[in-house]
Amino acid sequence: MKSSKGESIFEKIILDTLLVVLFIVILFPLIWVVLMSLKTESDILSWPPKFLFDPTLQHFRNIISGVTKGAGDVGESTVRILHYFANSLIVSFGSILVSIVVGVPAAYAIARFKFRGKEDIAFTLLSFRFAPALMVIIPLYVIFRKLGLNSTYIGLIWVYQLITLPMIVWILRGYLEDISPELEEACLVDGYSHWRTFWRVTLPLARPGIVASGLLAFIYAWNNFVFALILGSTDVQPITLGALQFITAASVRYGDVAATVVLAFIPALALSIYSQRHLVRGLSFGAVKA
Amino acid sequence: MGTVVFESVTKTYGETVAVKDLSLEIAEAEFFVIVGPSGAGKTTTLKLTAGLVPITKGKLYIGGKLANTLPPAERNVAMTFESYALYPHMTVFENIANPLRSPLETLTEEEIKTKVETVAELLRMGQLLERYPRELSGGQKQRVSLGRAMVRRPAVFLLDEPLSHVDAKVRQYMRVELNRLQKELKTTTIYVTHDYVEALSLGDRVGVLREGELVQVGRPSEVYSRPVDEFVAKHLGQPEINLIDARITSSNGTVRLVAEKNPKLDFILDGKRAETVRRAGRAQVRVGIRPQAIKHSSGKTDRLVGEVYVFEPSVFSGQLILDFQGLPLTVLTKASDRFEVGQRVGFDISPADIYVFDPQTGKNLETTR
Amino acid sequence: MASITLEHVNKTYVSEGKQVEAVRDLSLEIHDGEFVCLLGPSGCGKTSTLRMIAGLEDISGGEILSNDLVVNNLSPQERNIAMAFETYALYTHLSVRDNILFPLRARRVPKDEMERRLAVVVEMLDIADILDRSPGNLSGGQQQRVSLGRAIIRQPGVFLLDEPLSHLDVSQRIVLRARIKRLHAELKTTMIYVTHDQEEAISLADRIAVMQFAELQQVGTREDLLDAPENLFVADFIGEPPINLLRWNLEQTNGHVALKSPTADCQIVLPDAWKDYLSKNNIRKLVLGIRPHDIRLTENPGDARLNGVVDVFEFLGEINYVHCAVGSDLVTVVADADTFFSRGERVAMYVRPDRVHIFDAETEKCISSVLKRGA
Repeated sequence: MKSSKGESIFEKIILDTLLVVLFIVILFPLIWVVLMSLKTESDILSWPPKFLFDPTLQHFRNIISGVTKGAGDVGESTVRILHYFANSLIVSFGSILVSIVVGVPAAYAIARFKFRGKEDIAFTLLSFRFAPALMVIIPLYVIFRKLGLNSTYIGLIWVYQLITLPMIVWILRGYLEDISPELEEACLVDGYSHWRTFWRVTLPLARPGIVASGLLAFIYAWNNFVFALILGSTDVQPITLGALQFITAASVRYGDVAATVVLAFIPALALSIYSQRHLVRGLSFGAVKA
Repeated sequence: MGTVVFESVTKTYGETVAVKDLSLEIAEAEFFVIVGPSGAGKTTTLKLTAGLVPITKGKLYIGGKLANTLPPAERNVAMTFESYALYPHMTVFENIANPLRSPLETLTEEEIKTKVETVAELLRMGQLLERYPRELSGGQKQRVSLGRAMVRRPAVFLLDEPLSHVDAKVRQYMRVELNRLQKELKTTTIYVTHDYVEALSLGDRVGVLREGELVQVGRPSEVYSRPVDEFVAKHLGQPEINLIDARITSSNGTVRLVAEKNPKLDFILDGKRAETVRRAGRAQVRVGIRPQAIKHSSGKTDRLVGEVYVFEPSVFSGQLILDFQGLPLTVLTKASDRFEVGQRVGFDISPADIYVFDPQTGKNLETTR
Repeated sequence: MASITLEHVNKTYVSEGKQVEAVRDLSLEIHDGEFVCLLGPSGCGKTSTLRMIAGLEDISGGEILSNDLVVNNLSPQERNIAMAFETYALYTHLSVRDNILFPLRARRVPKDEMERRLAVVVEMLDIADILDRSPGNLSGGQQQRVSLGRAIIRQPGVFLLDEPLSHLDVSQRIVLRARIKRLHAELKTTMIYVTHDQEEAISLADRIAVMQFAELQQVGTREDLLDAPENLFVADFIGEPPINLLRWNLEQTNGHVALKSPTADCQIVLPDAWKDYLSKNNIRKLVLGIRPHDIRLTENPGDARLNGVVDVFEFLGEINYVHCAVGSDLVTVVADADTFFSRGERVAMYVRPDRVHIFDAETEKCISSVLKRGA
């Protein structure tokens, strides 16, 4: 018996089972962290691990109120998780904004024009993504110190361009290359200037690509740890770092860390799900020649 | 207003010459067709006229004004692209209205609506105005593309292979429509195609382009019946003209052309024709014979007899390839004729119907001064 | 050599949750050595039919027989067929010679037999000068010739061709078409050829099977389809320029039946033999079809006369098309290359009444074909 795709029922069951297993393996850390955030400290540390327990919202209350109480602490300390959340928003949004403003014209230039060194420049830009942050972090620190950019939003947004700009330029480049130059030529002949043509034809058609690359870059910026760690400070650090505060010499507040992590990945998760449609279309549009 | 004059216009891309020394005068309201194989430079010529591609050397005048440095928006031309170039994010109405919304126009929304609807009626697509390009068939997209060009009443229409991606049936119908439209609108048109049938049918004059150079310009019937060289003769005509290498012998005012591959096939020219050919001073020539010039019969009493290699009937004609003892000849026949492979068929060719080409340059010895 | 018979063949598949019928109740007999074209617009089912004959697709219902043996469950390899594809499908890592010899090597044909067959194929397709090239260095026409060579070297019982010329430019297409026709004359192998181009079908095929919307509309020779089409679709699909279709009114004049133009003073008196059929079957509305090449510009006795005004004159080199307005109808006539007309000129056109086609306006069936065959 064959299904429309020619698989037997037997094959289908095996494939589905494999998919479920894969699903579990990939998502397990995430599921575990969510569980951790809802368990009491003792439940977290118990062995064998408990999957059935009495949930508690204390950790979430802790991080939202910013005041932590716990066993064996030397008094209270303030961890302003919500402030860090706001920092994440500021820095991530700021980064992609700058990247889009700079990246769209750059991508357009690379997609449309021929000039000496074009591929070299494009590739160099891409190579920033390959280079491990740790390689450049120390010189960067020194430079930032000299320029007074340590612990500033501007400094972080600027450094984040290493993450967001190559992504936006490269995805948009493919996207723009797929938009036929004849559409722009037609608009020129219709009586518009280059600039007006860009706004009237090129940008609207590139919008899905901008959205897709912007979303992807946002997620990567949001998740960044190393740059924020070295070049930031408690004032400006994003939420990725915030959880560190719960790791003190005295104890590790696992529950609060887990709750922070959950709070941190909710926006990224929500955006990924929402933009899934755009992402696939935006990314493949650039890759495949119709 | 709508005259277009090219004065030695050249376009090079680095080492490659796309258009070479083009000189041409197109009159007001003339429908001029540029025909040639792909890569000949036809689209480049249109884009030079539109201002989408800068001219390397030479001068271009549109409506009497020097246009070399004018941006496309200021040249008062409209263009249709082979790929239609319809804006995918706009409706058909907005596509057609786009030229009317440019900074150079000052029309009210009402006026724009009227103009768009008039054009849509003329092209019979009034019911498509709210659709998007992706919902249209090839033929419909082509009409939208034409509509967008026509709505502004420019001085010059530039049409780039408008029928090349359209079904054979629709193409036939659109050719008639274009013919009619052109006579009604009376706008100077430069139409570019690789299909000689479109060129002959639509053009007031035809220009044959090869590798960036205009080889011949003239009225369709002229260019077809008096080709200036082999290239033009081959490009215009279906089935393609037969070209046969021949040797010349001359004596007392006549010239005898004998086919190299088969001496039984010969032609005798006398009078002025003999003189022209003799004056060219060649020992060998290439004889051109159009397939419809070869008259065939049952093969009983003819001097020349060939064997059927293959016969392909069409609706009201047929293409017969005869093997004349090693020499292939293509003959245009009536479809009511029937031929079997291997059948012997007699044929005859009148010397009045042949062309004589120079074997090296390909030029027609009788039209070159 | 093989004959192929299709008996009530069906093909359905599921697309987006719905059942789609690709081929419905197709019965067709293809004789040994015959060249048959499956012709129709895209989506009509012709390619599905070919693929079922090849064994590349399952048959949902009915039977396909080869030499009277049912082959429904045989794999393509077992069916003694060879196929040439639209996209050539050549092995890019092999030379032309190796491409052509590939199917023989796969069947372990002895070496001298391989060489012998190769020589025959090379001669037939004129590919001696490209034997050592790789497919990437060949033009479309050359690639298609290699593809054909690879198919015929197997000496199959049936040769299947799926739109082999559609990706070639015009000049290559013409050359290759003649070559394929010649190939058929030399090999005498049964050939089944799929195309949407009616001109190709008419010039190549012994018989043409016209399909539309998964159904066989008509199968016949070129003459059958041109002179006795079954219905409006076939009459309109075949023929270039397309048949003139006129919706004129059926009227009685002087005891004869005639079709009269509602917008011009023109009529065509139909043969009396048709009168009874029309009244017996109570047919009121007809569509009149006249092929452009059946209209003459010189009168012959018995001709009906149509008066028109030239709207568009097309000079096409070997032939001319004259499009005349007859009232509000446009009638296209094929004229000799040496007749010229200008727009606005008055033209008298003549046609033999028994050369016209009449179609029932509702069922779209061709009544004149029925009458010509029966009476």
